[in-house]
Amino acid sequence: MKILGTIRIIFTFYKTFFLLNMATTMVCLLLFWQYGWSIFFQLLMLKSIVLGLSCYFIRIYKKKEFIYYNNLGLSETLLWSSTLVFDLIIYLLLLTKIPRLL
Amino acid sequence: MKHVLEADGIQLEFGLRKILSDVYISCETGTITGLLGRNGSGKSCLMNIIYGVLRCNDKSIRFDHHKISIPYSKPGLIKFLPQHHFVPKSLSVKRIFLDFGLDWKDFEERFSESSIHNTHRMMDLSGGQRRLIEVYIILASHAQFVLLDEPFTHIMPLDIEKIKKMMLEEKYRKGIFLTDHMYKHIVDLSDHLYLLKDGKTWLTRSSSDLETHGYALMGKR
Repeated sequence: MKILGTIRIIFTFYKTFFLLNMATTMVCLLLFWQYGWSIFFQLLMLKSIVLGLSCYFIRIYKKKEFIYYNNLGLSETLLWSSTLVFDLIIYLLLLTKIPRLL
Repeated sequence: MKHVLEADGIQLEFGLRKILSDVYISCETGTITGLLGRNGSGKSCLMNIIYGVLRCNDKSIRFDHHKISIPYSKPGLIKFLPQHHFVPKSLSVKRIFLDFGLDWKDFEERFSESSIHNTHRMMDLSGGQRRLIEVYIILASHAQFVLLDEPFTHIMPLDIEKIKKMMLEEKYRKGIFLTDHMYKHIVDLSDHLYLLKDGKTWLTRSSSDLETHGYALMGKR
């Protein structure tokens, strides 16, 4: 139950930058289907830059909210590492495992 | 069994300005410890350092005489009410109580006139209502120590009295360390009272010490 609670709280944090990152993933997905593996590293770079910018702006504009997560026993490091790893896994899975739709 | 949270050896500077230099604070479970000080004296910085979210040049935070580097990372040890709103606006009150493992009915009974419903999102509430929720979740939370930075600010007088009553009940389960500019409430509640001045803490023996240190005119109460 405690683990489920922790996952729920981490997802709350993830939601703060979910839309921007999912939109980036979708753009990357479309470009990947169009141009294939030849631009894989460029797309990975694009995704990483958007993730980096998300981190930067959230650390500035949502800084005060980190106390909420700290009070629930979650450090900033744990929040970032878990959400960024999860986001990158989703990105790579979508890119490589989803068949071309267009 | 009593537990004790201590902080000393804290050195904090912003550029050339020395904020904290000779601090000693001790807070025991079963007591309320107050901290007073002028604007800019470093009260909030001290709380942030004790909690573990503000880095400083040097510090020693101890729980039961054992040094801890990041107090908030120790489960069940400490919770912190900062002076600003800290709960994400998008969350519903129900969800917040679920996260903190708290009973909504207790809040409803205590603050029946607050007109807050647990289906409300934080963004739907006024500043005072948000603050009331934040004060409550920290004060009622399952922790051995709570740090409260300006718990009475933005709260209406009727609710301040209820919060004070709740603090007197909760102190038997935890140690409460608080600061606020509404110093009369702090003086009323505190078992131990520190004054922060010139980067140093002074344990006050009586209310008149506040006058001696140039903090308040107690005779005008």
